Amino acid sequence: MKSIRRVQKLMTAMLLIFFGAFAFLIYRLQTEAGFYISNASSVSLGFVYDRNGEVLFDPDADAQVYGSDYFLDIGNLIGDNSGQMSNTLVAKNIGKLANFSFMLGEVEDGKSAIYSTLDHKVNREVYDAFGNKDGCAVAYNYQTGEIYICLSKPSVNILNHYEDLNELKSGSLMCKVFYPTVPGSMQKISTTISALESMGYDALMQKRFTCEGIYTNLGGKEIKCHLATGHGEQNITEAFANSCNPFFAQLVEDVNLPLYDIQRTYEKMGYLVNGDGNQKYLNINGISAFTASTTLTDKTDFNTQWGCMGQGETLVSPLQMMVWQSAVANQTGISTNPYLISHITKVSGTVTGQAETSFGNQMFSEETASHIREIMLENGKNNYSTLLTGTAVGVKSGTAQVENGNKENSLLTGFVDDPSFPIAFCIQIDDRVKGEVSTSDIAKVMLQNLHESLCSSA
Amino acid sequence: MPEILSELWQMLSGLQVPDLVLSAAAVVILDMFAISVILAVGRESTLCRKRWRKVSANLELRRKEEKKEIHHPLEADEILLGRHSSADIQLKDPSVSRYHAVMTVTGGIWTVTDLNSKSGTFVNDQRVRQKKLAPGDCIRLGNAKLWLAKRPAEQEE
Amino acid sequence: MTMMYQNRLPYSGTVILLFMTHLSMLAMVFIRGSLVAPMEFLKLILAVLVLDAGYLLVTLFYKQMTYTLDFMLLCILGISLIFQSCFGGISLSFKHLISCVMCLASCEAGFLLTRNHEWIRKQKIYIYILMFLLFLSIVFLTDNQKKWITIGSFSIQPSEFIKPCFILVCAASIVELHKKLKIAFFYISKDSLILCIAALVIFALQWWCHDLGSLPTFGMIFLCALFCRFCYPKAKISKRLVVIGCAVFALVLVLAWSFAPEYVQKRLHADIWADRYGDGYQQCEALIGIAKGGWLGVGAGNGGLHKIFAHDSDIVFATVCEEWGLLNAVLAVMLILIMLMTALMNPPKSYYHAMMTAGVTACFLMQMSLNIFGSCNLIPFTGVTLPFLSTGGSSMMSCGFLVGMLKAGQSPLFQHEAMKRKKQKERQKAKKSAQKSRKKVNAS
Repeated sequence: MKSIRRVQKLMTAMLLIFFGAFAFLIYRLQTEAGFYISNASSVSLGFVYDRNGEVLFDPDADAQVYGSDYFLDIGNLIGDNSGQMSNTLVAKNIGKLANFSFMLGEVEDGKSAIYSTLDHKVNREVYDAFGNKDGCAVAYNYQTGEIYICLSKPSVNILNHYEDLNELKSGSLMCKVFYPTVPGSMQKISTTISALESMGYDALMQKRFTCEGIYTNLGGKEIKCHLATGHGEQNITEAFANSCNPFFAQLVEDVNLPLYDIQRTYEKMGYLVNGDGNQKYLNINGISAFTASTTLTDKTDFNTQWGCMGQGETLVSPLQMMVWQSAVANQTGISTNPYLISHITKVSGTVTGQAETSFGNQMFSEETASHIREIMLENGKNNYSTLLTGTAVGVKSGTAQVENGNKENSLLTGFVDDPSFPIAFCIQIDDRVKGEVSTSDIAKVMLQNLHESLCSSA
Repeated sequence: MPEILSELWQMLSGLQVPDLVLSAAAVVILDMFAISVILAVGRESTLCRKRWRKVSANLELRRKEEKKEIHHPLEADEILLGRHSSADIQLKDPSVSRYHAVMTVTGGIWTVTDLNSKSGTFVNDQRVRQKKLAPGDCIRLGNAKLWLAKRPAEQEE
Repeated sequence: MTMMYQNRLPYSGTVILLFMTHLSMLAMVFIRGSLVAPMEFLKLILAVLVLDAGYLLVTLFYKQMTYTLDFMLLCILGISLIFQSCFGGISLSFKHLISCVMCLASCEAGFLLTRNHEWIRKQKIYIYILMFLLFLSIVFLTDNQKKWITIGSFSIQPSEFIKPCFILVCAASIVELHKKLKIAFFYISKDSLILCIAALVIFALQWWCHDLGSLPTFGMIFLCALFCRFCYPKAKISKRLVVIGCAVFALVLVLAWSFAPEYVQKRLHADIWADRYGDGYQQCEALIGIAKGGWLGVGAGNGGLHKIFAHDSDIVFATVCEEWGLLNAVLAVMLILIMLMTALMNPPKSYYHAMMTAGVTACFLMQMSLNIFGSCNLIPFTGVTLPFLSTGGSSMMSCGFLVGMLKAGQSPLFQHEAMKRKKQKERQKAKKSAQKSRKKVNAS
């Protein structure tokens, strides 16, 4: 009767739950089988190609076919199936490369392949432009999100099969584009955005602070400018171009710019502020990329001010700096999400995983975006006009002190203001000394070659 | 969808003919076995119902609620009457105790047993503690009245 | 010749399909399998057919209302025998054949013991004693905190036999709820008290012998009983009790989670692919095996999983998937599910049997979930057996007993019928003894 019916209901519920879980299991086994099988030694893997059809990964690569250092520039980005590197395109997408499907089983001559958005030829030219210096560079289309260039030096030559593992420089096995670095003065972009968001353009333009080379802040500590004689009285556009530390220290201290506003804008842009919450990561086709983090405690505090100028405890990944440029260049305040895989072919040859452009959250207002864009374009016009002849470029450079000030990294981020060539980029040279190859030299190589490659093929 | 079909076609064309026929046949036969079992269970459950009618003397309880006659088939060998929502036959009259009485069956004879109710259990207007029931008997729990009656023929299938 | 079962229903179609199912699977072994030793294959055919025919003949003498569970049990056991005999090359697994026979026998035993619910209810004291003896055997007879009792070359797993006992204890406690004692603030019946103590002892013992795999199964049965207790008519559903119960359950869960021994913690948070050649080895190999098998499998005896430890028990689902394909493995599991669903189509007529059926369903479903989802890395890997498909005499016997209990719920023997039969027997006996004495008289 009623109680028996109740027991039957209980049994039905249990059976239904089991059915549901079982159906889910079958679905999951079906979809993840490629990943499972890629862990078996027997299965054959497909290739990875760049946007022009050049091979980026070949499971049976041979130095005699490709040339001994053919894969050097993308060694730690594309990686291989050896399991030495885990945060690489091949390692994260190995299930899609396996020549296998649940229905067909293993197929010896399957058509599984990944078609990347990279431009290997230009990538290589940029890699070579670094000369004997180390560093990293990344560039993408800020309208669509395709990553054209992504490299990190020192890299690893996968054709050596890790026999020289002990001789490799540290950092060879990771693509520095995805890992935190000290942003230096490039942080002033974020701080200027915060100020624009908080005060508005007109109020900010009226702020004028004086730089005399050294500024003693309200906490009593000295903030030095890189120009010992000082820049004199400046507005934000001039200070941005001069990269003037005393100006920004005074801006952070200003009563009209509450620290809370800076923190909130930073958080919207993806920073982890004061360890409050979880560190965010960007997902680039499975590759996990650091975003940014900083510590801002008190606006008169030396470290907080340094944090707003890209020193102190501030860390940002080069990828994230480039992605911010998309929100500026598009004048929307919304970032374009970058991706590396344009499409995938399955073992049977059918094309899937066609990449689609996607966007992030609103980080700052459109108005702010267009004003910071103006400020950056002004800087580009005055100081970096030779990067790409005939086209306006918005730029911010930076110098980051690392290892307790013993070394200085040189950084450059920016965007090309041309709807037919919408490139945002970020370049870092490690431990640069004056007179060596500069970030703008590399940017020049990158933009001119990329322009040639993209616009001639289009 | 078309890619699944094309993969299916590739799989099927890749198999050898006996493999394919056999795999399909085995699956179909197992399915048919399952279906035949389910049909057999259906027949068995009809049989069990018939047997239960014999055991329970094919009786049901009837009561009137707002001029409608409600039928309660007796489908377990122990049936609890009461006001509580978990009782097998719920009587929403305040004079009925939460667990008022229980009816049990052995060999086609139903027995009603009072569960120390406040207002008492009456069979044909006689207060009882335990009594065997016959078809047509009237059971009164407090103010609620129930009749024990044969089930109508059309419900017998 | 018409073979007639005692309930006079036609079963010929089902029986023919049962044979055809087994024959088609054997044919699949013949064509797609790795046939090296034809004699072994013949032995297998013979074993399956003899098992089928033999049991079908035996069932002709069974006096019961329903036979479908017998057929389904036979079908799944035949399939299981074929599966087990083909792992890593075709040769009849004689041990598993014996297990199957024991399973069928214990099914009938379970049916005969539990079909009269009024009788079995009165025997609860013996069930308690049996349960106690099983506890003692775990404490004193198992070797050094293991779950096995080893006698010669056989090993017995007492915890498997506790399962049916525990379900009976649950059912008994539900039915006897109206006899209540007041202890502190709660009205509680003696049997509920015993049930709770038994549950606690079981949990403690499982903890003690590091057999945490079957804990969830017992937990599920207990929860089922608890749920039925709240819904059973004579139980006073007090909201306070429900809230307290939930709180205690949550607390126990949290405590168990945080104080679980290290090897359990490891299992709970394991990324198997990161520990591919360590703790995750079995599961990784199992998943790779399933992937290799695809929908239709690589053919009987062609798989590679038979080299892995516990391929025929803990990860048997994957082994079957590899050799026979996901499709066949799913169908085999479905057969077990249909077995459980028959209880929904043909509902029991008494509370005791209803509770028993729910307990059996909970037990089977939990065990299957733990095994299948565990080996496929959906939940932590626990190493319990898959009902009917895994090897192991103890597990097979307890599963058979549970199916017998299911059958009892569908074709129960009512008390008055039992009395009638008893009287008939006594009359026959009396007649015989009268005849004997007459003969004696005549002889003298």
